[in-house]
Amino acid sequence: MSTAQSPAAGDRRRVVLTGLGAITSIGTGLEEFTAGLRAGRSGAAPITRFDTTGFEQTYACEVKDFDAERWIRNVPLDHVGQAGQFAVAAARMAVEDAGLTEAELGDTRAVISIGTTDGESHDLDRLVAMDVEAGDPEVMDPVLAGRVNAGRLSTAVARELRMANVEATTVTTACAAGNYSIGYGLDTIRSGEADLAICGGADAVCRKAFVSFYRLGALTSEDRVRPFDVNRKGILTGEGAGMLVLESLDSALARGARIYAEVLGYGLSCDASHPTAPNREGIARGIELALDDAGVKKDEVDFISAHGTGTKANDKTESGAIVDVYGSAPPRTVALKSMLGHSMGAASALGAIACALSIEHGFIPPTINHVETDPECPVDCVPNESVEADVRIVQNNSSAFAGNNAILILGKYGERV
Amino acid sequence: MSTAVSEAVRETAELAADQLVITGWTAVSPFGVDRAAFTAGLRAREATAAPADGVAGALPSPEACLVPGFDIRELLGKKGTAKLDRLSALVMVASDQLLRDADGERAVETDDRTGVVVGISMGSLETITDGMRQSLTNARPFYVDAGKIPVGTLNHAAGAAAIRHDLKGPNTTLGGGRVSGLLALNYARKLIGQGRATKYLCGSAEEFSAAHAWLEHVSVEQGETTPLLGEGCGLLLVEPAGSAQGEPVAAVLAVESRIDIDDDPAAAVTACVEQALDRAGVRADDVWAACPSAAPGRAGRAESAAVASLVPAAALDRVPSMALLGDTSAAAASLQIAAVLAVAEGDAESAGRVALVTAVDRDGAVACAVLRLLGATDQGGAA
Amino acid sequence: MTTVAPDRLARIKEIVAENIDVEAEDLSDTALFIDELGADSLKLIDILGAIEMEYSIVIDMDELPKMVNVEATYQVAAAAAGW
Repeated sequence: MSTAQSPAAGDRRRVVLTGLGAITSIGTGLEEFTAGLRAGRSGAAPITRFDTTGFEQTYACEVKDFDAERWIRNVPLDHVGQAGQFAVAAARMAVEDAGLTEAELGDTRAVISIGTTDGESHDLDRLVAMDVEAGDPEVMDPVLAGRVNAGRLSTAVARELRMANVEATTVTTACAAGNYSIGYGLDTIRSGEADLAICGGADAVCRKAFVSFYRLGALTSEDRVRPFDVNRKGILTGEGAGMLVLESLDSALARGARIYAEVLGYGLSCDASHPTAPNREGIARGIELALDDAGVKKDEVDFISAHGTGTKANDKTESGAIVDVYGSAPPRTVALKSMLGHSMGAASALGAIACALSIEHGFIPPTINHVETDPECPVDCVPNESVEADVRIVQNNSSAFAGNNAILILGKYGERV
Repeated sequence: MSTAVSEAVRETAELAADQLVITGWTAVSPFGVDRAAFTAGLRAREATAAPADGVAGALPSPEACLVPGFDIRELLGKKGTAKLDRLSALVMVASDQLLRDADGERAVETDDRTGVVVGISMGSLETITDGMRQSLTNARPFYVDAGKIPVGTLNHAAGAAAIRHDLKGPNTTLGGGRVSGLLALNYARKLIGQGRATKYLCGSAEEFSAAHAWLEHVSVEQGETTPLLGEGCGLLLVEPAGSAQGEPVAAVLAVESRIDIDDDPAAAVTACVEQALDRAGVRADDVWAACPSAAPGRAGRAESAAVASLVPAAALDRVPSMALLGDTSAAAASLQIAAVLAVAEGDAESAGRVALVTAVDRDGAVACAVLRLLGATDQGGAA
Repeated sequence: MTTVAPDRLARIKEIVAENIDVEAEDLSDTALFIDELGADSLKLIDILGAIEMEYSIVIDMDELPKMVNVEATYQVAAAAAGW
């Protein structure tokens, strides 16, 4: 392997989480989200976003109590679609949680990176429906047509927070995009080019994603998701946004910010083998890279927040990769998608927030809807009930179509000096 | 700035080991399917607009700037390409050109830390909207082409290039429209800087389709005309100078971006360029070649005016206007970098000079890169 | 097992050929999609979906593993369509 440019771990700038914003199908806001994770709530309910006529499955994990106007002040609400509204609102929530005012953010050099799978595909769905109905694309709504590009998710956050001096990047690496975005924030702060990054992911339930997973046979026929269960049948689509404020430790300490957790490291790997099938070797390599980047030993990991979609292929392959890395007694491995469904680009961002909350509040969230663990998924998935635990180091997994894996490691701040 | 400093700027011999350099580039563009065609078309300042006859579906305006002769099966083979989208094909063809020699043999060493980062707007809009249309019009809503589903995923092109060339390093897709090529370059720069990759295939791409044309047409700003759309893919090979295997053609001195939050694109471009020049340690007067995006509409005009007011007049004429290619959307910034490199290779005077590439996107992002041209000529060029 | 209708079998063979990149005339009724022709589960879903659309039928995804070759795929389609 050729020369690494990476600064030695000991010399690196440390990066911490000082603000979180969560909009989820089991609760909006940190208090509700934490309560939902602890209680093992399910976000599944009949779909309201689009007409499900003709489908056997009619459930998804939609956000039920979202009030955009409560959070979005500066950009017109129609500047973005549903995914953008989630992203902007969660970003607002996260900077407020971090105690940062617009005046303080001001001209601060920062990164805003937001992951998404489908962006504003719900708007595209609506535009195509307009065209189909009229038989003429000329009738498509110009407001919707003007906001469909994924880049707007992150530029809208910059506009909302009145931050001009930012690099706004929308990471469209599908279902691993949340972790990718957090990793980019980490790398930027580590490099010394900024002290602040606002990172996460957002997606909205849409017909496109629903039809895609339905057609691929990856959507469950049930009203619930059962990751790692011998009778698991697939995913439910979901939505929401998770945004995190990453800050250099120096900056956080200087302003006396509350520190939820330290971002210890991450790893990216590409399977380079198949456009949809998960790959055991690729996932394992991503985990190894993340542990190495974080300087964490395997026996230090308290639990893993799995990608855990609830499909036959993912859960078996991911469990296999975890066993490959950790041996036959891996850390407890939970699947938040049992509660949240698959919130796509938001999934690993919400996973990271759940990990930070588990460190902050001392519990491990459960894998709900669990009856019988699949022998092919030999992990303790913390079935159905959350457990109290002193959580110090957590691994947050994500994988995406196209063979993209992103693994994030968070740790309790102050545990590792 | 004094002559002495200008001379110093020309000094290229010493590059720091961690200096990011471009060691290969290619462009699949309306000038033609490969780098040679791009260079020839650019230097001849050819117009590329033509009737878009081969495009499926009715179009809002008859002309477009398509990549001529872009036949997916011919370029990539029959196997596995039946369901492939044009966007992924553009990226895959470009990656072939970048990594293989004329005989199709691997010419660039890669390993499990070779990264891929591709900038896009919204993926293959044709694939995505075709699927939506099928769902709405077919007898059952799930009667959609299953093989097209992975292709309609926004990160498909980057993943497909990785599969094609067994590239297992960080594989990332960035949505940023016209600035996405610069966002991709900055992404590669940072991840290489943090040791996550040893080299990167880095670029951006856009496909032309009826779906894309109609979305642009109906959302055009009041008082503006429907843009002439283009397509293409610009792809660079970037690596640190210290471990570079190819001959460096340019050093990436700075990449900067910001957001126009006050609907004043000229001010945002000016601030962005000044920041980048400052970071690069060069003055606006040192800019030898400047290449704005020539994006249609207000933002593009403001960008051109802002750049013109910053750099010497001679710098503005060295690279032919990107308007020749139409609005290549997400492909734009990477094709601009390619254009600067193509011009530099034809001009021995370019050695050691500074080039500026700028871009604006309608969503409010502005970005720019400052490059130092390293004097590679047509005879000695890499890749 | 239903009696095979030659026109339907030929059409199914065409669909299979289109989706796994082989010529229909080179495709035998018994060649195994995965083991001999290099198909994967995504390709099988492609075939299943295309047959569904062709005959306006719905085939349960659980039938996928049975679709090992053209012959077996015909039987799966026949059962779903009630041929």
